[in-house]
Amino acid sequence: MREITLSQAVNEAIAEEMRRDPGVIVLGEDVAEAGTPFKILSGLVEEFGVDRIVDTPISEPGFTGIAVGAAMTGLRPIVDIMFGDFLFLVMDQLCNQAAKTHYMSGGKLNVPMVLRTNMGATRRSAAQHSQSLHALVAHIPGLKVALPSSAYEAKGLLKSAIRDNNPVVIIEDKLMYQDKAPVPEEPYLIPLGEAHVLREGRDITLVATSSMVQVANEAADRLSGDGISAEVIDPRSLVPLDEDTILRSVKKTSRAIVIDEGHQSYGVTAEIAARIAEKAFYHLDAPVQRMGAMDVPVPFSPALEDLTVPTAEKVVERARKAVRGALFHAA
Amino acid sequence: MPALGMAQDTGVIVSWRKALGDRVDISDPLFDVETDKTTMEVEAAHEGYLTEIRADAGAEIPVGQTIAIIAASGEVPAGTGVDLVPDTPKEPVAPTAPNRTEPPAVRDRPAAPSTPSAAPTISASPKAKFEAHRRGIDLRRLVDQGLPQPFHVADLDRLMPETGTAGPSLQASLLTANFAWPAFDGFIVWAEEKTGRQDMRLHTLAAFAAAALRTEVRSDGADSLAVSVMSVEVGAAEIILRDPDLQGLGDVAESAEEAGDAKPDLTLIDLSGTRLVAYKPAIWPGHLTINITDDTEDKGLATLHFCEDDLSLLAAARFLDNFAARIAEPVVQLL
Repeated sequence: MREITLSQAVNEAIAEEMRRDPGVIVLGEDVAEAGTPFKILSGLVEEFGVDRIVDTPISEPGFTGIAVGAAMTGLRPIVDIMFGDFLFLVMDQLCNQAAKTHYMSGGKLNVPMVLRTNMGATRRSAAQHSQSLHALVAHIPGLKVALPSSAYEAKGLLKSAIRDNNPVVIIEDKLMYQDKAPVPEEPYLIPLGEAHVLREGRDITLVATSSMVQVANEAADRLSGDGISAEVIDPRSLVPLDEDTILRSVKKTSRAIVIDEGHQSYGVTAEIAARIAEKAFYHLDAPVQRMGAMDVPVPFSPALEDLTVPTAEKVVERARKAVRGALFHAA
Repeated sequence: MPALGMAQDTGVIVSWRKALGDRVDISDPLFDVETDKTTMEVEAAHEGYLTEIRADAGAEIPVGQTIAIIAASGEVPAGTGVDLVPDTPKEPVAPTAPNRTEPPAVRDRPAAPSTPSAAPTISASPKAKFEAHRRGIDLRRLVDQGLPQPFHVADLDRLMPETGTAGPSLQASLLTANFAWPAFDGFIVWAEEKTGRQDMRLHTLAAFAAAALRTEVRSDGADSLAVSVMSVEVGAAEIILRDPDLQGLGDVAESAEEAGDAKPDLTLIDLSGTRLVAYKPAIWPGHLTINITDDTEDKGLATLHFCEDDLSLLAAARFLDNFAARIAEPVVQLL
């Protein structure tokens, strides 16, 4: 199968859906001529023109609000937020308007919009351009949230998101835009709410999102050298969450580590770990471990920044401890 | 405080049905106790007079702790009253109140480790606790063996068999029969020649075992029998033979199926032809197991592991004897 980058996969997904449905439009800063700073959307304006690939002024709340209105009145806008950190600017449009309109209109209005943005540290972009804020939106009822972990997921999930009649937030890891993965030539969809078991294992379940899937996979490789068989699960979407696949796995392995690049406190790792503890309690042979990013603003110093995110070494260390039955804390 | 459930650590006294000094007969309702699962009425096990009540309604009391005394005479000792403070579930309740001058009431249960009120909390993973409950293992046995806490499921597997008297009903009983090999060996040579197959030995043993089981234990006959087989030479085949005794010579292999989740009625482990003489599973697997081993040059041993709750000694003896007889005289099987 051919291999393409995550960035090309996103571009293909948008192009295919724009050809399929004339109601699909793109709104954002530098999306047309510039094709975004990451060159993800290059070429789209040439094919679809400036009426459908719309460069907006630098006002995230403004163009996100426009998208919410356009979605309510029949279009399927894709909003491009240049950095995930700018989600804070669109909280009202996204969380108070888009997420609640279907509910508050008694089902009379839909908001079929997609908000695409990014996450991920270790790009030396400092504290205001490195955050992973998916937990913020996953907390809001009415928003679906998907985190692609490869080019294959990026294309399939985005196409499903564009066709969804509800607001979907898709957050790509900006460090993975140039990562290649096998992606079929023929169109395909990946439904939201269907986890992917990357490898089956016996001793411990590693639930990982976005770029942390690579970290978990690398950890599983190293653990297999110690005779520890790790199962790696990518939930692919946080909302809806494929709880069944995760629970089934933990019931088999009796141990779990949840790895995500958002800050650890009050985050995605906590939510998934809590569901495991609640619903697979009698199957647990070790405490469920959370591994999120350190609870600090992402440092600009490369040496410090690298310390804030989960790494394969740290996952291996925790997994070994859990499997050999070591104490994590005083009983 | 009686243990009303297997996993019960404490019970809450809901109410007393008798007052201090009351006459009590056997089976009289004495008090109501609430566990995490239910509320039950506890009856008196002895007759006499209720001379001491040491725990008031509302108190949460560890299992095994004395909560009242029934004495032959109705004289209530001076100063007796409730001396266990209710509503202190988080604190371990002392066996006696500090200001008591009488001897401690735990004198009837002197062994410290078996007195739950004196035993520290045992730390184990949720799964280890659940598994221990399922397998009928008391975690205190792990403490006694000096294994470090918290316990995990692997620690349960390390638990040595209980010494002394027969332990919980999940321990398997052993029964051994001996038999002569030559007729069977000759039969196998003939059968392999006739069928052109190389796996007749294990399959024939499985067929004999199933036939013996069907004759002596499952005489109603209607059920299908599944036998899982393993030998050192052939390997631990994850294969179950379905009704091997009802298949024609050489057709037994046709009944083989992937073991999957299916539970066999019987596991047959052929260790003959090796130096191995005994195998006992650490945990009762929930079904019959027969090990075949060599004894002397032309004698073999068949050892049956069975649980007497499921299969009586008499039935087990008949089954194993029937099986051994078939090996000793295999031609009988063909008739």
